[in-house]
Amino acid sequence: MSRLSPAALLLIGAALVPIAIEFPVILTFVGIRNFSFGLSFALFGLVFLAILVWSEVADVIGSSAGS
Amino acid sequence: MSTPTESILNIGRTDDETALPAESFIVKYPTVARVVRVCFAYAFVALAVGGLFGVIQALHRTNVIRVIDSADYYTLLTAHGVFLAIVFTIFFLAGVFAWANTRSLERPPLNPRFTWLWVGTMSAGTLLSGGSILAGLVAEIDVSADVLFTFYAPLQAHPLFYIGLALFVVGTWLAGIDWFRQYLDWRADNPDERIPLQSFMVLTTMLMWYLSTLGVAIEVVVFLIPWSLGLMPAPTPLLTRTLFWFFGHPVVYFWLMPAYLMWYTVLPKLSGGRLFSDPLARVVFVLFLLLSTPVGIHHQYLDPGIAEGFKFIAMTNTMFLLLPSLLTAFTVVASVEHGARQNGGEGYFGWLTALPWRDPAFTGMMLAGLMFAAGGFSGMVNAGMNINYLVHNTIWVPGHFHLTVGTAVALTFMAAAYWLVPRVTGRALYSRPIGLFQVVLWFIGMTFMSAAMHRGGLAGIPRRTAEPEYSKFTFEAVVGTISSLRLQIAFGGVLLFVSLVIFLANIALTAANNEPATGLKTDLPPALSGPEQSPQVLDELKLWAIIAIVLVILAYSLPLWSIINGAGFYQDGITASPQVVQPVLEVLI
Ligand code: HEM
Ligand SMILES: [Cu+2]
Repeated sequence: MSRLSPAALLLIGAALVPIAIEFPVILTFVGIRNFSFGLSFALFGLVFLAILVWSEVADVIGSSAGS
Repeated sequence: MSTPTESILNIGRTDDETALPAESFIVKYPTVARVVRVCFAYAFVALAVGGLFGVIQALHRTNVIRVIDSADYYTLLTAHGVFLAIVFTIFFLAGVFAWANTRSLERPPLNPRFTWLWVGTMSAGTLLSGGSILAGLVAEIDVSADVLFTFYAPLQAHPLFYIGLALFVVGTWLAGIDWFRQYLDWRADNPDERIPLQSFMVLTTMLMWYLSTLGVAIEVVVFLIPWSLGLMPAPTPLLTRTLFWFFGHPVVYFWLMPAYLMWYTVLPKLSGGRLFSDPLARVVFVLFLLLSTPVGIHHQYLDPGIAEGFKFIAMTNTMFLLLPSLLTAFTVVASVEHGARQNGGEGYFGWLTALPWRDPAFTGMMLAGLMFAAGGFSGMVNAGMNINYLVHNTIWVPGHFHLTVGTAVALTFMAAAYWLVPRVTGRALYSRPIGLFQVVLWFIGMTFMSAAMHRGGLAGIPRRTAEPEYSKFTFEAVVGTISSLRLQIAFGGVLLFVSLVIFLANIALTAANNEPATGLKTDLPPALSGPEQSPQVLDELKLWAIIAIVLVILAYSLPLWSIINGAGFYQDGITASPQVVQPVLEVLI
């Protein structure tokens, strides 16, 4: 089995929240204005989904299998 | 059946007392464990009420859901500030200090009656002040105290509010005396030893507290109580503001230092290691004792009547005050990394995966520390005399302090509770996974609420108002829209409240848990670089106290002198004789 534990997913998900909130601000530095927060959250929601799927199919290093 | 109060007081009685090891805190010091439980019970009730008002406020001012009348907003805001920033924090830290001083000096307080005296005094103060705030919600009772937790003139509260505050502060003074007596008793038995680290932290913090509460004691006893009783005229707002902030800045370190105590002495153990440096920890606490108080004027950058030069001095001291926090960041991270490497962690960042992230006490404190770093950055903006003008009195400021007191302190305390409550009740934590979920949820909720508050503040949205929408004026956000910021504040506030409810439920279920706590045998490990490597002078508490007093005199004597000369004690040139005495004087003279 090669899954991230629920605890790991929780922490990864939490780490994505500030990134999603800051992302539109970071974009303004490269000239992209008015990238909405909604879009940013949707984007990072997808990122989280991708991590979830990946954790199901890949052999994750440091996975908590068996713990 | 026991009554509810009895069962709160008896939560230490597990059915199977013998299951607890003889060297566990609760078995060695049953009375102190009970004191800690009572302090925590007060703290958590205050947290529940204050948190409920917090979410009501967040939803109200963002116009998402309105359950109160806007006219009651200040009653709720005052209760939120006082219950969370004064009652929750100080009762919890009193419990932490009682625990830390006792376990590190290895002896209970000299006289349990005296200990109960300060618990009782603080309780009476809380009930008076809290009651007079909440009475503002009941039209039939002619008592109110809608003066916010920064209680200075010209806002006036019912005398009971101020009397309660005075009692509460006196209670903390008595608590400090209790801890100093415990220390002197230890000193008599150990004339040549270094002060144990936790006790050192408790004592330096209390010295700072004695010094800084002088300001608020004078404000309340000399001016506010006589004024609210109608005996004396209204004091000059600037004078009471200055006296308040004399105390109002150091109080933030009074909240923070117990959190630091946990980060320095418990977090390394949780991560499987040892504190990196005992001398650095001592230096940090000495620096806080010296620098916490002569900076209060940085809350008054926009007050007319204080010369710019004095404000500049306060700013300089404030920037120096960053140093001990940066030292703490270094020492704590180094200790945690050491722990991770003990557990087989490797590489530049790989060691991070070798930490006990499933432990809510560990993860909660780490997330609290992380958010404190962000709060430190926005604090530097507040502290800059010129950029302060940009954010002063905007909702940026609540955004800032929900990271510091609202997370670095509150989340550390919640995390600490997951570790300490089993130690003072003898009962196993009800659920670690739920605890982990709870601390992470707090982090997520606060990220939403605080980031949006900071941004709203940059757009100019004011703090402390039920109706931040002005007609014929629209705020412009730097990024995104104001309505999306509003939603983020409301959403974050709801997540925080849910997190809080989960926390309280987890703790309540722990208090009722019949499974005995485990792991109570192990003591806190000694530091890698121990006290023998720290200069003896660090333990000279008298010396540091004297230097702290001198710094305060330097920072405050001239500003206070010029305020008194310029604005006077009382408004409109009224002289300072009591109104009741005035007629007598007229007859006599
Ligand atoms: C359930 C979690 C919380 C929520 C939803 C919340 C929400 C809020 C909001 C929206 C305000 C600003 C109101 C305004 O300026 O109009 C505020 C102010 C404040 N909050 Fe919180 N808060 C929470 C937790 C905390 C905690 C844990 C603390 C401290 C330990 C805290 C301390 C304060 C203080 C001191 C103020 C300022 C009150 C004033 O301006 O007089 N809050 N809170
Ligand atoms: Cu301050």
